[in-house]
Amino acid sequence: MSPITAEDEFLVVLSTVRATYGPASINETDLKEIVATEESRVADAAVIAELIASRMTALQTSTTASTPSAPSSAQAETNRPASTPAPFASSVSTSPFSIADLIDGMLAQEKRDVRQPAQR
Amino acid sequence: MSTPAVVEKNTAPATAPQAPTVTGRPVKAATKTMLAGFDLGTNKSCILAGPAGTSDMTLSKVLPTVVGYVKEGIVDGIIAGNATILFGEDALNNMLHVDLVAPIAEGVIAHPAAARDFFQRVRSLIDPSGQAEIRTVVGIPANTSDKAREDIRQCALGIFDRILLVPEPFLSALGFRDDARVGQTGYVDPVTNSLFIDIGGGTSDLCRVQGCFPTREDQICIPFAGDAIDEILHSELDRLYPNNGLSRHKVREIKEAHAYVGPVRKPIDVRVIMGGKAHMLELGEALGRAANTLIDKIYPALTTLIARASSDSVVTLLQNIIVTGGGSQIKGIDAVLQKRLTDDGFESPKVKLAGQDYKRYVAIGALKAARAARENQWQFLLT
Repeated sequence: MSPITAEDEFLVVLSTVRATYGPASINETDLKEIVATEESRVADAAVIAELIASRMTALQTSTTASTPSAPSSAQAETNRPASTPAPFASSVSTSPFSIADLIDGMLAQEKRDVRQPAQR
Repeated sequence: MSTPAVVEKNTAPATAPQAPTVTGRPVKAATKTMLAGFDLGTNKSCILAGPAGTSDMTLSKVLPTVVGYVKEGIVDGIIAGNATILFGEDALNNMLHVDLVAPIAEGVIAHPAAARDFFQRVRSLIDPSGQAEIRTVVGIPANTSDKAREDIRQCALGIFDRILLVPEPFLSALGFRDDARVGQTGYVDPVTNSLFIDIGGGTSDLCRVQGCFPTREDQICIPFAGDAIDEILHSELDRLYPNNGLSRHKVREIKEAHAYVGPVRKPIDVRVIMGGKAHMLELGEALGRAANTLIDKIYPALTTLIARASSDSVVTLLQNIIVTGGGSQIKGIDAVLQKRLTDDGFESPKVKLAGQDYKRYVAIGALKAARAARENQWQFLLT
């Protein structure tokens, strides 16, 4: 048997209210607006969680940092020689792929395309 | 080609830009910098933003990409604040009193003046004070032409301070990626090896993401997506029910509620108001015919990108086909694509849906990119 979800509970309460106070007791438009608002809040919360997750992971990594001879990816990023450090990056990904490196790839590709317009 | 409105500045300082050629707003020392991820969609745009150097997010908004210019002769008080231009939901809610203009068509700027007004609105949402420097990563369809890119830059000139244009399906992959789980056993990083199918309003974008930035060979953009389905459905409705008087907006609503792909599902009874009276229309075949056209359009592109993958990567790639964008809400789209791939002999394909947050993945990816971009990667907007 599947677990009872919040949506199930909501529908049960809604049915109870309507059964008790009549079908018109809850305005359909108001209800839609409330649901839309709550959906938006949940979506916002999910987005915020998504965005701070990487920062929390980075913080956790830095507190459990390994020895100086094995620099973290964050240190490696900071030591990048070819460009200015990213002052506005909120965190450095601990994953194998640096988003900044991927953007470098994109910009290099754009430059190639500008140089070779005839091939496009 | 017009004069490019962008220049890379490799030695830019970490502080606010001092470039004297930035136009539109007075050049002044900005008090703060805001970073924004901007999914500039044909029908809906999504903007996420927050101050640079923090993980705070001060704006998360989905906004219909539409501008409403208030018609002449509207009496005072009808439009809140007697505004002359409305945006998004406000414009749609007042469609009787405004001339609606969609700045974007098929993923590119179709009405530059309206696009500039829309960008200005986005800027004011990101920074109501009007004082901050705004840096924004804008999602654009895969393989957008140089001219279309330049059109976006020209429209952003004087409104945003620095910009990066990045293909949407790649941003979807970044947005979809759960950074906290990267490296965990069992978690497949979508940036490592996946194929994204981003079905929007104007275009469907397919993109292979395999650990490096996708090349042109990795991306295919098809100018057939939600709007095209609307058009087919509208034609079907006109054929089946002449003089139905249904607006395009209503047709889109019907599609969003009932569209499906695969074998015909009948009956699908839809209640609509025509001529002031309620009617129940049976739209099972019409909805299926319209939406299945999308499958016929994107499937060849999907198999083309799979065929271009190396033999070392293709098996894993086939396990990570992800459908996102508004089109991911079409019922059965994952199952139908997976079945066609299986029937055509592809090795154990798995097609997944991005999930309910599909509207925001591009913007999430764009904000991640904005926060990760190095100083020398941002492009100035110049005359």
